[in-house]
Amino acid sequence: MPLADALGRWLADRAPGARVVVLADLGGLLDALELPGWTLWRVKSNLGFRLDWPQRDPAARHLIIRRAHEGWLADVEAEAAAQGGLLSLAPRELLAAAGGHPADWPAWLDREPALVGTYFRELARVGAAAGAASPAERERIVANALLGFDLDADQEPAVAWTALAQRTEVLAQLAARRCPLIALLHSWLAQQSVPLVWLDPAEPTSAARLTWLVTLLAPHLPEPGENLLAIYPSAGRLGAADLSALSRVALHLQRADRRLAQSQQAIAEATLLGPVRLGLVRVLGLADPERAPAAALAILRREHRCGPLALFALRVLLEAVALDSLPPLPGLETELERLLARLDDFSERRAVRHHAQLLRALLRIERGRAQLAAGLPDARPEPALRWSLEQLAVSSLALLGEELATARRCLTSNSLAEPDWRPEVDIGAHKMLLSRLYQRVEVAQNTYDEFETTCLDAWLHQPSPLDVWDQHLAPLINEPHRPPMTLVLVAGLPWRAWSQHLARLCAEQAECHARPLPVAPPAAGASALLRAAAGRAGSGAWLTQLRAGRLEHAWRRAAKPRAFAPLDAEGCVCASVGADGLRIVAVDLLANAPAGTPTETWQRRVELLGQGLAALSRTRRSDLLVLAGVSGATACALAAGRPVPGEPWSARCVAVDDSAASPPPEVRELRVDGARVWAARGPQRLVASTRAAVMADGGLSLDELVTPLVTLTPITQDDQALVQVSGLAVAPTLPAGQPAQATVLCTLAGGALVELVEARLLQPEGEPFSVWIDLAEPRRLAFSFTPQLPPDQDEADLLLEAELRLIRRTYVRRATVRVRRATPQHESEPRHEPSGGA
Amino acid sequence: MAQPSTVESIATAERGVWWVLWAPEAPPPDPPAALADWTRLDLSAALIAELGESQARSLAAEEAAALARRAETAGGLLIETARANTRAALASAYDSLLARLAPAAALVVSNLPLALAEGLDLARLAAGRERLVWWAPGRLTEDGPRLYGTVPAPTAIAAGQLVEWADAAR
Repeated sequence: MPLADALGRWLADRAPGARVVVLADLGGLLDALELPGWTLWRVKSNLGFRLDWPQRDPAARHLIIRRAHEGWLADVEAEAAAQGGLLSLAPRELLAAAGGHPADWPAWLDREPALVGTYFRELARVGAAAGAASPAERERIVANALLGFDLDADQEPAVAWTALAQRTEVLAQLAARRCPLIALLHSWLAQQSVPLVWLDPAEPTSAARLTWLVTLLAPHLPEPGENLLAIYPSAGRLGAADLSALSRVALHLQRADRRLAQSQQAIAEATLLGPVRLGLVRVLGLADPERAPAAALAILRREHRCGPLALFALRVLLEAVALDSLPPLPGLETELERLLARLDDFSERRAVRHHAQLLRALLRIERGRAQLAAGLPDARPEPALRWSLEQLAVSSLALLGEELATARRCLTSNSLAEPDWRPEVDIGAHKMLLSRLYQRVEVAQNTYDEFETTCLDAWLHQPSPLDVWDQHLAPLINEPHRPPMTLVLVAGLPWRAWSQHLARLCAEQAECHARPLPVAPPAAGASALLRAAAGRAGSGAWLTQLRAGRLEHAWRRAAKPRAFAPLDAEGCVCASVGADGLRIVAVDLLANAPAGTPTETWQRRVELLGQGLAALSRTRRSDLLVLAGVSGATACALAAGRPVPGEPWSARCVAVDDSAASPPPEVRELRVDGARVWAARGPQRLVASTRAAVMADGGLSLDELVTPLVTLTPITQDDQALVQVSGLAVAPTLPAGQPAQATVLCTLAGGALVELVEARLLQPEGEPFSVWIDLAEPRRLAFSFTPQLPPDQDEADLLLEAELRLIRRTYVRRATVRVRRATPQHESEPRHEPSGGA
Repeated sequence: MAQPSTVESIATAERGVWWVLWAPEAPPPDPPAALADWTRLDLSAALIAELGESQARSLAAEEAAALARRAETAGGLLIETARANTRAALASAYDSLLARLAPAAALVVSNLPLALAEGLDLARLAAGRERLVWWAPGRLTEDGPRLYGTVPAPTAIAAGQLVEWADAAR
């Protein structure tokens, strides 16, 4: 029975014949009522009522509905009272008017007139059907009518969700008034299974949840609507079954409130359990062992979130790896990289991260193992070294040690120990899979250890500084009646350069013999190779080695030859020692610039060396022997018959100077580790003419020209970082306690890489600086800092590190700066006019 | 019971304030013919007329709109504001009404609900006037006289001399 009919019946019963009735409706039961045969007055304003009331039709019947404290009606109430029309209405009386007796209804309904008013028709219907039910049954019947679903029947979650979502506001008000209906609902929900048990009546935003479920699945299902129904049948029963519309709403949600979206997404993901998961696994093709890996890759490709679907896919792939059933999947590693990059952004799921890292490591390990499985082709030292260098040139192999560590770390994570992705959990099978993965890592580790040993052996078979001693110097020292001799060890001077630049000069002006040095004099290169090959530190300075090897000679520090003073002024004379009439002078033509010395500077030094040798020959009555060679890394590469590569053996660079006042584009030829490389400076990048010039040299490929972030350390001249390259630029010497600047430079890679780079400068005992650089904008960033010295030292080395994070890779650039307490000296090099000829 | 002769005595009295009650259940009578030469004031209607019907309707609509937003966070404030606006407008109308009635030495005031509902100061109507009759439904109860049977009379009215009306017809 409709509310109006019930009210009409009630009025006829309570106030027959009254023409004016004042009805108190304190709870708003009759707010939306229309009553035929009556003129309804709702007093909203005294003024408004007094305007209209005198104009009323005296012959009509007037029902004045009043709520608490609204309107001053004493006169009208007096008139109504005279006719017996001053009434107040209880919701249960109204329900009784629709049938039955007031006592048939739960008493708390009288406290919820608005609820009764809204759901009057439903209540009247069940009231008529209830008959002689017990109070508890009646309470249940009323709850069913109000909630819109049957609490006694098995309920589809979607139906309950919808009903409660439609009543969100009402339920919130009831909860605030501690209505018994809410307690009933809570106790019912608590007895339900997943996912209804998660439902919070205070916030049953079912639409959003279902929306998220659809969104979650939509990328993976060709027809989200139909397939969703296959997985989750009750979705179809929802009032809003237009799934495409839901998808649109989901898109909107995704853009709107991120926190809300995430919470709803989490809830939707949580529904991927039990039967829903079972259906999903079936629909996505993950249940079929043959199709599963490809399906999993497709999920990874389409899944932008890092939630349970990604985790399913990763577990499927890991299982395939463990069972050796993973087919070649092009792009899998790329997808993993992307996934890990996304995880960097959101840090959502540690489990996903561990699985992805493990899978990536396993793929790389597998590749490295296959590569190493071919084994050492030749046991002789040189081919062995060449082979090991070739193997190391493959970056995945060079990083194999790290990957093994990563795999081992991930395997011990808790998330891996959880049973697998299948709906039916089989703990035994999961343990078996894990043990297979462990085994795989162990095998790879053994292979890698073997390879490391091979590398090390091959390297150790190369001539060492001690061999140099034995082969070249020992015969001289031990020779009876040996005349006094000066031995000049020159680094940074390849034998060919000696022949071209100095051999004739020395033959004409000095009595001087020269020999090529078969190994690297400075130890930097050697230690670099040792580090790369075996992960071990190098053996220290070569001179120390010599001393350690020949203790029978009382070596003492000797004065540096005056003839080499100009070279010494440039810091090229490293050491001078003497014993038994033998004097050794070490000269490094590439001193103070590990990343490269401008060619003109190098040529000047070569000339200074020639002049020094001539002067030494004239002033000293001693034989002069020059041992010339290049430094370690280049020597090793050359010894192995390899061309000098870009990374990591030497720093081939294309440098860009993008300072504000840009000088005209210019190419500089540098010496790096004795090899020629090119550096260019210009406003943006290599101009065409510059590139042509570099290409004509044949030393660099186009790829190398545009390789980003490749050059490591600054190249200084005139105390300024003139040629500035990707990485960290800082003056080599800094005064302590005074502000200094380090510049982090980012070179734009060729083509499409217009990205953000995060640069951080780490300095010991200082706050790290961190900033984002947009590579489309100026690409240099200066960090100010003040180097400090410990109180008891006048000089110390300061290690600065710059981290450049570009997408998912982090490049670390280091620069060692010498900090001096004394007033900083300007070590500006004398300007050198290029001598024609060479 | 006050007899017509009593009303005639009011009509002939030189000074005084009277409160003439008639039974609320009965239809409201017109003031007796004896007071025909007094100035008659239908207070609710006079206030609305002084305010102007259009302004009265717009004020009423403002109150109704505020009431419809009762459930909102600031609903209470909205309602209070709308009612205060109405009261301010009525007070201003009351002022001008009083000014216009200043010359009337004898006044019969009827139809009080709007003034009572909006809390207008009825004492200002009586102040300085020689003769005034409050013409209103009411009854005597154990707790004293009540307007409309239930509403305690405002001080200005209660201060008057109580006269209970019953004409010969009743």
